[in-house]
Amino acid sequence: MSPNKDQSLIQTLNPLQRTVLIALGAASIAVGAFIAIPLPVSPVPIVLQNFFILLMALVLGPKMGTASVALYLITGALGLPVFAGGKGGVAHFYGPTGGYLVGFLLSAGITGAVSGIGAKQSSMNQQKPVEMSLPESKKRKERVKIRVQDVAAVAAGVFTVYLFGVPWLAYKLGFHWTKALLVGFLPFLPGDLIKATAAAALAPHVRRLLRKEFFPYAG
Amino acid sequence: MAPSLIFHHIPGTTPLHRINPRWKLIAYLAVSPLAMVSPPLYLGGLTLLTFALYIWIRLSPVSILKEARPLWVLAIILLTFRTLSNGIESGMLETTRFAWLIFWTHLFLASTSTGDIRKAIGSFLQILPKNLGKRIGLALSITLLLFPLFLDLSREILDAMTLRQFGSNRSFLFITKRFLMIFLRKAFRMAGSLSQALEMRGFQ
Repeated sequence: MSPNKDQSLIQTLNPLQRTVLIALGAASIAVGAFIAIPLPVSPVPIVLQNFFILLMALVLGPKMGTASVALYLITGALGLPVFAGGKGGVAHFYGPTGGYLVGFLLSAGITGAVSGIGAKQSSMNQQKPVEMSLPESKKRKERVKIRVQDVAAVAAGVFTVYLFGVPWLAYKLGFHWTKALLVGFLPFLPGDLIKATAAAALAPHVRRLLRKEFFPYAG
Repeated sequence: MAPSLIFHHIPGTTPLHRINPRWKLIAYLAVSPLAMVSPPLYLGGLTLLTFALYIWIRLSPVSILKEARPLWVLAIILLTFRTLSNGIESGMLETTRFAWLIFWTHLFLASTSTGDIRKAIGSFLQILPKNLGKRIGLALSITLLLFPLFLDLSREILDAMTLRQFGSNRSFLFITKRFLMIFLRKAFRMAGSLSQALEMRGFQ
C-alpha cells in the first residue's frame, strides 16, 4: 500500500487514536535521543532522534508528523532531558542549536508532504479491492514509485533541518557562513544521510506494522 | 527506601505527592532552566536540595543509577567530549548539569501522576479554543507515560539480544534493523492497547 493511501487511512482514525499516535511519535523521538548506536568507523555514536523524526513523518503524514515533533519540542521545552545529549529546557530554542529544533518541525511537515504527494481522501473500504485488482507489474511499479518518493521526502527533510539550523548557528555564534557549514553541516551530513536512508528503507515495513495494529481489517 | 524505575510515577502519600500538581509543574519549569545556566555553587545547592527531597519522599536515588544505564552512557560520552574540547572543569560541570536534570525530572515524574500532569497542563491552556488545551494536555501526558515505557522497552530488547548473542555472525545493519522493528512493533501494540483503554474510560 502506498504512503498516500496509508495517510488517507490515518485520516479515518478517531481523534483519540490520532492523539495516541502523535504521542507515540513524540515519545519515540525522545527515546531516540537516548539510543546511541556505536559505529565501527567513527568514535561518535549515532543517535536516533532525527531518524525517528523522518520515520514518523513518513509513516504518520505531514500533519500528525509535525504534531509529533511539536509535542516532542514542547516536552523538551518543559525541561525534560529529551533533546540531543540528554538536554532540555526552553533556553535551547534561543541557543546556537535552536535553528535545528525549528528545522525539525518543518522537516517533518515537508517529509510527510513529499511522501504523501497525490494523497486522496478515500475510505477504508475502498483500499483493499483497488490493491488486489492491480496486476503484478503495476504493483512493482507502484513499489518503486513509493521508494523514490520516500527517498526524495527524507532528502528534503534532512536539508530543511540544515536550512534553518546553519544560518541560526552562524548568527548566534557570529560565524562566517563557510565556517558555519564546516561546523554545523558537514560533520553531521554522513550520519544524517545514513539515518535518512534507514528511515526510507524501514518506512514500508513500519507502515505495515501500523496497519496491522490500527487497521487489522483494511488488508 | 523504595526502588524506582526511571521516569515512572510512583504512587504515594508523601507531602511531595500531595502538593497541587500545578504548583509542582510551575516549580519544575522554573528550576530546570535555572540550573542550566547557574554557576557551580548554586548547582551544588540544587543538587543537595534534590537529594534532600529524595530522602524526604523515601525514594532511593541509588536505584536510579542502576535503572538509567543508557543515560549514564550518554553522560560518559558528554564528559569525554566536553573535557576534550573545553577542559575537565567544563566537562564536569556539563555532566553534573545533565545528571541533575535526570534526577530532578525523575523526582517530578515519580511524585506526579500523568493524569495530574494532564489536568495541570489542561488548566493552564484553558484559554486555547476548541478544547485544544485539553487535547495538548492529554497528548503530553501520554507522551510522558510512553517515554519511560519506551526507554525500558529499548533496554529490554537490547538486553535480550545480548543474552541470546544475537550480534554474533550478523551484520551491523541487520542487528539495527531487527532492533528497530521489534521496538516499533511493541510500541504500536502498546499504543493500540492504550487507545482502547482510554476509549473505554470515556476519553475522546
